[in-house]
Amino acid sequence: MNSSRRLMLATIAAVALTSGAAISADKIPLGLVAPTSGSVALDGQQQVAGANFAVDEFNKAGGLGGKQVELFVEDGECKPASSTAAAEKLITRNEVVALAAAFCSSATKAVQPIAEKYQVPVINGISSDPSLTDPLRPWFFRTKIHNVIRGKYYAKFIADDLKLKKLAALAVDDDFGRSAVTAFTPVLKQYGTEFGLVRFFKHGEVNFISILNAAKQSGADGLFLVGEAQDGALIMKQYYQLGLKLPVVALGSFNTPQFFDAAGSAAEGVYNAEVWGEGIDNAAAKNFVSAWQQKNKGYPGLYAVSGYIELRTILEALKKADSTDRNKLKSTLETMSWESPIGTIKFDANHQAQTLMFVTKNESGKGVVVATFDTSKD
Amino acid sequence: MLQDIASGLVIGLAYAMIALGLSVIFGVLRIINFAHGEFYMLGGLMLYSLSSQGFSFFPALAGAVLGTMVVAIVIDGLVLKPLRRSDEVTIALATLGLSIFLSNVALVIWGPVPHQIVSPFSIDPLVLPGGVYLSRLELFAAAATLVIMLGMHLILQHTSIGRQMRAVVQDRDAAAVVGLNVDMIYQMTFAVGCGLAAVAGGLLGTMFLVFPGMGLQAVLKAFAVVVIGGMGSFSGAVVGGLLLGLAESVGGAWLPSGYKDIVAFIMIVVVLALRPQGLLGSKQVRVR
Repeated sequence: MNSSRRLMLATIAAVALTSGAAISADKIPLGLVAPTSGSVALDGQQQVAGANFAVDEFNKAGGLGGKQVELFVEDGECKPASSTAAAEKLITRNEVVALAAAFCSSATKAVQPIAEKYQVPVINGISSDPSLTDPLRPWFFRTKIHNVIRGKYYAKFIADDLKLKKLAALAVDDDFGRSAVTAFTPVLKQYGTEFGLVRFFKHGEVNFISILNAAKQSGADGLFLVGEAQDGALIMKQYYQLGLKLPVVALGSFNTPQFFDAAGSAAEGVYNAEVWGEGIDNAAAKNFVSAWQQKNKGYPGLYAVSGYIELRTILEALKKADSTDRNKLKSTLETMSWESPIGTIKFDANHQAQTLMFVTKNESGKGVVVATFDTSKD
Repeated sequence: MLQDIASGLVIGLAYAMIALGLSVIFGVLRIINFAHGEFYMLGGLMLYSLSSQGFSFFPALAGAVLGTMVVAIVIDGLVLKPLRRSDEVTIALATLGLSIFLSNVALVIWGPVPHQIVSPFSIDPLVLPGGVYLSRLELFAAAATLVIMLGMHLILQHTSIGRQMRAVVQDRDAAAVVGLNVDMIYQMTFAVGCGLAAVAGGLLGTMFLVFPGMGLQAVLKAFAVVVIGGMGSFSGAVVGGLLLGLAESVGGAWLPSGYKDIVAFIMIVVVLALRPQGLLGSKQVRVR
């Protein structure tokens, strides 16, 4: 009796556990693969905060015809293997209708085949490897301008405005860092600027002294950094340790609150080219910032905005399609447009959006916009 | 090149400091402490918490080291003491479990996000002859390692407690027979070893960043250092640390950074092949 009862309890528990993950009929499940642990966790948690903010806003406004949206977040650690596992889990277990994934370019690239296998729309607002949308991946949509687009405008700024001729590039050793160096090399050349030295470092590396010293000895007149907040903060701390005084032009997280927290005074003076900065004055950005500040302390950082835009794009598509059918969502995404804090989100034939780009300079703990470019023009 | 050598020596002494504690614990308790990196991490994170509570750097560092030692004493009592007579593999596995436990507890308390500790020294580097730049904090950490190593050596060789520790190393049972409190010596050694890890965690954490995952990287370096220098040997830890730091720094200037760690492993392989007890380790015969 006792053992059969225990068996029964175990069965009930097992059923409860497995069915717990199944969707409740009155909620629309959406997924987010973000690096909430590991060396990009600083930024990943901001992405999650931004995504949750978009979902809360949507639900408060009544959801989709009274149906609320539920966001499931899985940790992809910015690693290809963990990110694919996270995406599979969200699609098969949580049955999400659309997915935002997966922060780092290498991880996103690994998630793309999963999206195609299960035919789930995947939105990305953070990865910047050009090859993610070239060639076209039918189920993948990117709101973030990639490194070739960024290079077109940032290279001109570096060469004409800052007048740097020979850069030492220190870039993270993944698709983001490598594609940035590959994309920037030819455009910089057009303006007469070159990379005198290119060194790649691993995510999570802590000792940058030897590569910074190599940069110092290379005779470069500027430092070109590609990376995220944790790596970036350590590089900048050690930059001062070595007594370096070169101007720093960066791509990545170098104007986020997380970078300022981790780098402290070493963050000052760094230029960064991104889709976000402090002091952006378009209406959508102002609305977003004031809504954000009612719920959160401080100015929203790049990744909070990016997470928000990823989810908002999915939610806008849900609203316009008025359906949770994945095929309908995909065709809606292909034709729709909406006014986001970073400019109009409209996907081209390759499912790539062309938004605003801001060059910022760090001044007393803020990434202040010093130049704005509309990449959808010309 | 001069800069690479100077940076390598300084970072090497920092590696040596992490390795010292590991070496002390191995030397006396014969425990391969896989949780060593987590005590390093606790030192760093406690320092972060204390200094963000408004304590100034050095009192906060002292607090973090004492706090870590208290944690070490509690863990010794709860986990290691019951296993004193178990074989080495069991104890090593227990410390591996401890490592996972501690890093997850730290995740719950501090979250995964890295923090920066504000350095007590000026951010401006010191310029040495030959155009070599070193930060004040790096130099302080290097000096602290040397002082601690010297202090440990003097205590071991010239004090009663040092003699007691050496007696326990030679023969635990005989030491107990002549009236030494073996358990107390074990507990104290473990606490001191973990305290050394905490000092390293605090100083290196200030140089870099502190977060729950910081221990893994450190413990791998520390193991490399003690294997190269010799398990249980203090001067071996320093020599091993310096060699590793130099090889990484000079190698890192020429090799792609992904290959930097290869240097350490090649050194380990060479040392193990030619001198398995480590460069300064002695072949120990031990009665149990």
